[in-house]
Amino acid sequence: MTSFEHDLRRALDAEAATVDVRPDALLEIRRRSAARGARWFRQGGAMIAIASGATALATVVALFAGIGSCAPRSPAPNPPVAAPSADPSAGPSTAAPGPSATAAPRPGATALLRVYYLGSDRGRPRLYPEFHSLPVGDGSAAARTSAALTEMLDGRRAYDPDYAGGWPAGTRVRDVRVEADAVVVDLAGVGDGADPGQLDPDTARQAVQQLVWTATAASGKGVVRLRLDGRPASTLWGIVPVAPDLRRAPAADVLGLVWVIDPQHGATVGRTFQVYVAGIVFEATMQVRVRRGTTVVYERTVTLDAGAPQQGEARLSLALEPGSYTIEGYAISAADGSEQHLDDHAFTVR
Amino acid sequence: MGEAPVVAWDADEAVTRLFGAHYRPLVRLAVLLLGDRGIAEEIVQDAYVGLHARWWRLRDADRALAYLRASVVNRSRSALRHRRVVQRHADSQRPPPDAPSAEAGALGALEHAAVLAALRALPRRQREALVLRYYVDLSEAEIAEAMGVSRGAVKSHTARGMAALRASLTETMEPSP
Repeated sequence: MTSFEHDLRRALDAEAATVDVRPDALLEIRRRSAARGARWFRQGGAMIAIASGATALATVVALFAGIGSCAPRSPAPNPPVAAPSADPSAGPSTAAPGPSATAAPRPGATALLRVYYLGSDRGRPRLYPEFHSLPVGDGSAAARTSAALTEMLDGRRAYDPDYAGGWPAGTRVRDVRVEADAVVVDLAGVGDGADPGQLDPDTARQAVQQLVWTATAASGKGVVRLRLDGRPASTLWGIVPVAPDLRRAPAADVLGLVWVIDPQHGATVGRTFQVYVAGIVFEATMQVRVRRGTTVVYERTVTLDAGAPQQGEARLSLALEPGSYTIEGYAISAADGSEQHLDDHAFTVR
Repeated sequence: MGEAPVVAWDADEAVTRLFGAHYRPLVRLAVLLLGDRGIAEEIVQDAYVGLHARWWRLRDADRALAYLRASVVNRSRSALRHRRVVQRHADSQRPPPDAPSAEAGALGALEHAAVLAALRALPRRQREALVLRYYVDLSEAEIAEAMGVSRGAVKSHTARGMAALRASLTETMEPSP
């Protein structure tokens, strides 16, 4: 090492040594993670020692403080105000959502398609929807499904950095065919699950549901038949059995319990804009909060049109000054008053 | 594959353990990247909250640490970009913030201040490469991962950064007319 490198190292070490941290930092991280539905509040088992300590303090500070994730992302298109209808547990019988329902798509047109990604709620993977504007070729149900699934398979395309894909890198759509009673999806590159640590059984099962919810939303069919490299699939990665006819599992079992659907993460909206939320929540009650940095600029209890185990939804109209904001949707635990199931999106008012 | 060897921590335990071992060094890293300590801790806390949400995918302490580092570098970048837009002119009028404290030793402090000021003046990527190499002691491959660039790019940022630093410090050492 040259003496110059030595000087640089010493200067950096000396500067770093003057930096100390707040004593309550871990508590703050726990509080914010818990708001995402984490397990700090779980009673029983090995976590009880931590949980009881965190609960007492976290409950006190639960109402305010904290900062939205504000993760840096490139801006994402905002769906039109006429956002597609929620896609609750009733399933895809409402046919394909999306504003393009108003007009037959032209060849080479794009459509706003519902794509499901995996996010974490209580430390477990759950489904969260985003609307992506995608080229849909001839606009047929097969083309829409193929476009939505291709987008879904690459988790990096999720606008919200809290969301991810459940499928191994390299998985791609070989073919999509729409039949009278089902949509047949043929995938390649799914792999045999030999890459350890990537997929646990929980995530693998949810990955299948991610595909089923996305394919049924895009195709309007209630049944998905999965093929791998052209052949009917009976199992994925050796850990998930695949039924011949795949259907949506009950919403309360697979969906994120609170969704902020609109504004999407990274969206830019006008001064007056629509907020669109959904939730599978006790007594159809959830919370919506908007922050600007650490300042809460809007906070209210929202009553959805249905309560758990149904997925309810609500739309609000909001007016804000131009600036950068974070919108948070969450539920308050009836047991201890903590914030749960948080879904948050950073967005900009222009 | 469900039986594949993975760390058996849940997300809470992973955050607690990685907090104990790495929180303060990561805050210090953020301070060195940002040039001040105003929002360094907030940035690192964001990274840990992000880790908690992603633990079900990472499930490995080494990958988690790599994620935390990359996240701190990335968030510091965004913070600097934001601040540059807001305070470009204000900053140019001020002395460098957070000069080393007197505890570092009066003579050493002067030299350190010069080195740190020169470091702050470097282009962002060169500063990142030097801080990750000479403060965090990362390998070229680890720096590449944290910065999200190739190893070749790390090599060139490091070399250019060192050359620029050397040049600017030689300049400040020369007596002014």
